[in-house]
Amino acid sequence: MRQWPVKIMLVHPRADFLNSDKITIAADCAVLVNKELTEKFGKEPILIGCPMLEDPKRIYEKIKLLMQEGVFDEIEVYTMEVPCCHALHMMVEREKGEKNAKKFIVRVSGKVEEYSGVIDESMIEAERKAHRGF
Amino acid sequence: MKRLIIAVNEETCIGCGRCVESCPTKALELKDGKVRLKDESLCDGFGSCIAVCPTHSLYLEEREAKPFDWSILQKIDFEEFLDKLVKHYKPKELAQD
Repeated sequence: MRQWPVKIMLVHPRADFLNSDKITIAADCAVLVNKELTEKFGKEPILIGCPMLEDPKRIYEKIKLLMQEGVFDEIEVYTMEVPCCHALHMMVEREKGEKNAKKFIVRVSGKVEEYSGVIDESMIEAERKAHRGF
Repeated sequence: MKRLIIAVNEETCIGCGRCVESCPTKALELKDGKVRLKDESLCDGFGSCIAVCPTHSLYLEEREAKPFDWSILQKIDFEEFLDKLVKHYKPKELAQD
């Protein structure tokens, strides 16, 4: 394993393993729901977090530091399709500076799609399902 | 169109305003001490307000209503969004509001 820690909140913004052209920031669930993301672990830097069940303001401060200190030029953000996850995209978008940021969503089916950055009805429906349990 | 939209039980609503604060699309308002839907097109029928109601006075009903204005979700305010997310992370703070 070439990296530890894995949680955004725990990683040092100048950690050795971040010395890479590209890093990935992903929602906790996205990594478990999409197999390709799971398999990226240990091969390239991936930081994970949940902007709803962890303090989003602390996650944002860490992302800000990562963007300021990081040598990487490219950052890929993978979240679940649900709207609460949208905050991770917003945080990176605000702080990316000159870095190239790409947005993806993982559908609850596990399928990955490029994300336009606009929440649509299908994403709201995914969260409704999560809330009502069926 | 027939769709899910928020409804209020005015008998049990205590007018505390927590739902007004929690609604991401500002669809609710207080009027004469009770909460009410400001405009049908502001409610996406998502129901995040239901979770914060201390008297279980909010529910979703399926009825004829104006469609939700999806363009609202293109104008999410970052600071406001984080403030609402914090309330999920720290639900006790919400109860103390």
